[in-house]
Amino acid sequence: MATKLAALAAIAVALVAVSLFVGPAGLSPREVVDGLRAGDRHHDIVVNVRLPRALLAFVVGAALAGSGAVFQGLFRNPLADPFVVGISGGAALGAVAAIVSGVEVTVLGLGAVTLSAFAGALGAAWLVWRLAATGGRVPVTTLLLAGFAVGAFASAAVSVMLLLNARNWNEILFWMMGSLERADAWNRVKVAVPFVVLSLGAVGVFARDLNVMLLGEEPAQQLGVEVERVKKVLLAAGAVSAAVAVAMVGIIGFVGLIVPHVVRLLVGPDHRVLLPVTVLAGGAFLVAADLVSRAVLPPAGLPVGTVTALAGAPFFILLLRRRTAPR
Amino acid sequence: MRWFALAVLLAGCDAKPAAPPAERYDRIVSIVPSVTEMLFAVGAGDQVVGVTTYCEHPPEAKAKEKVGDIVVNVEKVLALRPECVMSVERMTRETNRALEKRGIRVVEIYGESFEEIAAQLRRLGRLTGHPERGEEAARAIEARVRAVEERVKGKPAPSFFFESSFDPLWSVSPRGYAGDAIRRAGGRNVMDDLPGAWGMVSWEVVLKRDPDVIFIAHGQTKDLASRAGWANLKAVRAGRVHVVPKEAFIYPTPRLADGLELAARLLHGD
Repeated sequence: MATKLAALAAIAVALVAVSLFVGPAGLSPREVVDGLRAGDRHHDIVVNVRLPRALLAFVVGAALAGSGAVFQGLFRNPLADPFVVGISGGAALGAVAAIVSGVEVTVLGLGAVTLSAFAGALGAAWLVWRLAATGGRVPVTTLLLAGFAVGAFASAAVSVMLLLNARNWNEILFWMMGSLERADAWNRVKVAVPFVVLSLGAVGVFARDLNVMLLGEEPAQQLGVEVERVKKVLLAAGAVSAAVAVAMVGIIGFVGLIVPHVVRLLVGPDHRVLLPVTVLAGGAFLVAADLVSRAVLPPAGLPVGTVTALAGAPFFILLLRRRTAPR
Repeated sequence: MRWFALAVLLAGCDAKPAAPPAERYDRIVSIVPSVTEMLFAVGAGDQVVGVTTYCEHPPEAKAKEKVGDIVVNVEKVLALRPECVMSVERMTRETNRALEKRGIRVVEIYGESFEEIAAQLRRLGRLTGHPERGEEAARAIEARVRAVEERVKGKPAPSFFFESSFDPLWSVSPRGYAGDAIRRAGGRNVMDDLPGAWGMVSWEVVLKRDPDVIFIAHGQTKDLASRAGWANLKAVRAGRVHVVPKEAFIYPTPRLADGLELAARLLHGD
């Protein structure tokens, strides 16, 4: 386990390092190495654009994958992903409302769109939780359905706002596609890291309970797990983690759905192993996807969300077929 | 782009119109802001019976009946009984087809350069029975272009980056009309390799190419300083970052000459 984690961490670090050498500015390897020195002509590109971008990719990938793993375990549903409790819809609604209204607020160096997306994501998750709660319990099926309904409602509201505000189409569509191209990436990394570390850390504490809950909620209760409380904490942690990711870079699909599955196929369902491996793998995967996205289609690159799906889906299907094939 | 526009015009000739082309259109619906502006420029404002909510220039256009925003309400267009609808094929393709299916003649009015804009003004003048006004408007724009070109002739061309939006970071190539205008104003576009007329670029490319002048044609100017490497850019250090009104650059109409003159002043001084 420790060696696996160390190996994954080494891969992630290597990918971040490789990221410094890839980008549409077309620097030679020599220029990149020189650029590491402060005061060099290309210092800003290497250290203030490429490095924080790769780190942002890692943090977001880790947050989404971690959140996806938690929700899949919690809902005992293979289709659960970080957005299952209405987070993407809520975030989109928040972001679009901010874009359309043009309000200007800055907190922690982050603008209104980011803040509003974060609020929208958490607001949606909270609403879903409230809608699903009946008599002190929150049945996961109701939660899933409420998440679906709130998400659909938010998406429809976004469509309406989109139609009424043609001037902002570019900005809105760009946000919804998700992008790691952020000119203030360092600041985003700095703000995102504590949120993600705290929420995924909280998840880690309950990994054993999550294992027990895979048996079903009633057996878990009988085995001494405070099911409702654990559920609440895990949902909140997963939601915060996903909300931060979405607020920082927009909606990047697939990472949170597929990475936990791949890791589960490789290391098994024990959350004490699954969670940390998923977090590292998710981060590394998004750094890799961003690498690809920047290497093709210069000067702007491909939206990273398309790369995660184009590259990840075939790989996942291959793995799935190999693992489930009759021997 | 020009070939595409030409192909579109030719394709239009192949379509089977319900009514033969009129000598002069007296009831016109315009479903693109730049077309509305050109119609007023050739003195055909009174013949315009319908526009979109985004047709805000000239101010008189705002008083016209609205047929939609980016989505055009075909029923409403039909109710106005226009002799033709004027549009830009690549912006309103589906609407154009829907209108043609109901027997409405659709006329394409689009130019990607000053020459083409002037040609479209002349054509619009003829189509609306104001050939002299069309000629006048065309000559005015040609004269303004010539004046600027003469003024900047022989002067060294500073490199520039034109930013039409941030998030996404969007710029124009020399093939786009805004890029064409600033090139004629004596600027060298650092984004001359953009694949299309307009397109997304990466901030690191701007840092790498370090332009002499930066034009910002949008309102998100509050957090310029938070961009990575902003303070080290040549244009920033030299105080040559200019926030320009986007209206002077984003419409392929006579107003583009405002952009041309402004860019020439900012690139080369008075």
